[in-house]
Amino acid sequence: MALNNLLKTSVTLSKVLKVNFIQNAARIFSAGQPALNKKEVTITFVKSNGDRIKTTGKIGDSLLDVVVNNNIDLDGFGACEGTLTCSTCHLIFKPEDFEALPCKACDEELDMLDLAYDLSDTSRLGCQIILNEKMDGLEVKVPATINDARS
Amino acid sequence: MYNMYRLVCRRSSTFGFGDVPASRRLPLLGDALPLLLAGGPAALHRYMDARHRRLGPIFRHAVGPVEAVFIADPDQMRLVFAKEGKHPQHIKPESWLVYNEKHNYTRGLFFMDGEEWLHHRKTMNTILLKGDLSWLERSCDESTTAFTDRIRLQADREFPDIESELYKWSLDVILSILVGAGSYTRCSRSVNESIKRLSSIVHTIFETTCKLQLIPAKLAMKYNIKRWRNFEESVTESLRLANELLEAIREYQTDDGLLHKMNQANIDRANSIRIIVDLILSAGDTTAYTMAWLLYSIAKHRNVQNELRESLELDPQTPYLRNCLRETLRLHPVAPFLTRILPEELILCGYRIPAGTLLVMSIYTSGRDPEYFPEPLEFDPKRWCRSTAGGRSSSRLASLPFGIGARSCIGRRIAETQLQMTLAKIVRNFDVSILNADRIEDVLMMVSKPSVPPRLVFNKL
Repeated sequence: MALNNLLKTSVTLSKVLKVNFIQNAARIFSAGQPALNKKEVTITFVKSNGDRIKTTGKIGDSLLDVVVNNNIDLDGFGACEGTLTCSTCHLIFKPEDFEALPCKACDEELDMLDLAYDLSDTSRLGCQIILNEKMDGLEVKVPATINDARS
Repeated sequence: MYNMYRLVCRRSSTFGFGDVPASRRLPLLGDALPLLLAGGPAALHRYMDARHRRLGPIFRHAVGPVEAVFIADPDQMRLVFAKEGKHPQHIKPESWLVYNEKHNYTRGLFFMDGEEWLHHRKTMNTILLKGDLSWLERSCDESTTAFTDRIRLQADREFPDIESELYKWSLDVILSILVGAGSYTRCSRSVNESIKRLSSIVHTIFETTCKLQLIPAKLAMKYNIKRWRNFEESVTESLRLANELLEAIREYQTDDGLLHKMNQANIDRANSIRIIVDLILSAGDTTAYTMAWLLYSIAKHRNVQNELRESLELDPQTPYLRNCLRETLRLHPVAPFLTRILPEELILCGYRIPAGTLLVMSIYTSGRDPEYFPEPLEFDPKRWCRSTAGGRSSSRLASLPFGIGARSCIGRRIAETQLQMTLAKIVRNFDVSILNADRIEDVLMMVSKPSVPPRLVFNKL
């Protein structure tokens, strides 16, 4: 509730000051003020060359947000910014993690997955996976992109 | 023949750009004459389709003064999108660029590039493609109900002038999206006349642009030939009307509309106007003609129409509805060619294609590729069903009517929502039949449209 009020105030303020609210909010949250931070979970991205990138993400954020907010260097990842018009945030889950995901892929996501390279039975788009408490310690595989294959 | 066609893309050795099969050019005239003989720009998609059949999934062909590479192999098209870079570039009609330069007119998303494009695209993404899009449904619902009410008045006989009616429908939906569902009815009453004038002039723009296609626009402007004057007048008039309309509807905006949402996103007024005006111009004809193809297809295929009606009764969210739209866009993609300018060198079908090359993806041809779509000319929405054996996932690669990636169609969700909702309402309330005896062909007038308007009868159920 307090957070809600704060957000409303920021919106009003941003209108007055003509600044971009979204950017401000990101700054507030990433400044690491404990009172405002939502709970975090640990996520590990395993790249196709075996590199493991361990990072944290906030509950309520998507796996795409985690990559963007932590500046994780994954070539071409999330090109369409979570608008479900590409498949560059394609991730592969362990079967048990895949089964435990709260939502099944919607039609739009399935369409885009069909366009993904190295599609597997446990593939999902990172932009559609919203973090919850149960996902702490989650490990996901980042498939080789067409760029990796050629370099 | 088709096996040979495929082999080109699956070999392991690499060839140079000069080895890419080229279509024969005539001195001075270039490719204009053979194209004219084949039916002119209106038949461009069929002309290129025939070239693909003769030369394979990749060939070089001059488009005006520029040499372009045409590809029709779905897997290679996916590669082009994967390599399009952070600021994907496409080509714009030369006549429009010349117009914008002459009149010092800045335009919307379609004409922007680089960082400017990315900045505005990101903002529009958050409104039109992300998050809760139920406001789009509410807006479409209001305006499409008005449309079915008008159909009811003309029911049980041949519907007069369906083309104009569909143009009006499509602009009505945009109007409702701009102001929000709540004030649509009041707003549409007050601007009804401007909408009618705008829909007829937008129509003219595409015709006049098309007539300029084979003439260098700069020369046409310099010598002020009649075709250029007609084009210039139609663009000026439509931009004027769109701006005037935008001004008139401002007082009707509600929280549930695009005008308000763009304002909230801090898009300044000048940019907001240029983006919306382009949205109006590009949404008008594309959805109108797709709706015409949809109605044509279900009227011609009674079994599909009946199955859709039954499926809707059992489940209003039936995937069959979406599959009808998919199948229509596969056969009649409103933009039969998608273009990208390669930001880096790429090996396509075994040929080394240099950076800066204009790539044209032949969506019309790939959507009729028998390897991906058995009996490609059959209209069969079931082929998209995931649970049947026919619903192969790879076929999605071969039909990309909205494009994919960061520069894909910004209006995709609006278009899908309004087209599916309108089709569902019509099929539930009317039996749709067609009076045209012959099959209707696609002609290209900037966008692909029926060569003659379908003559439809809506019988009340």
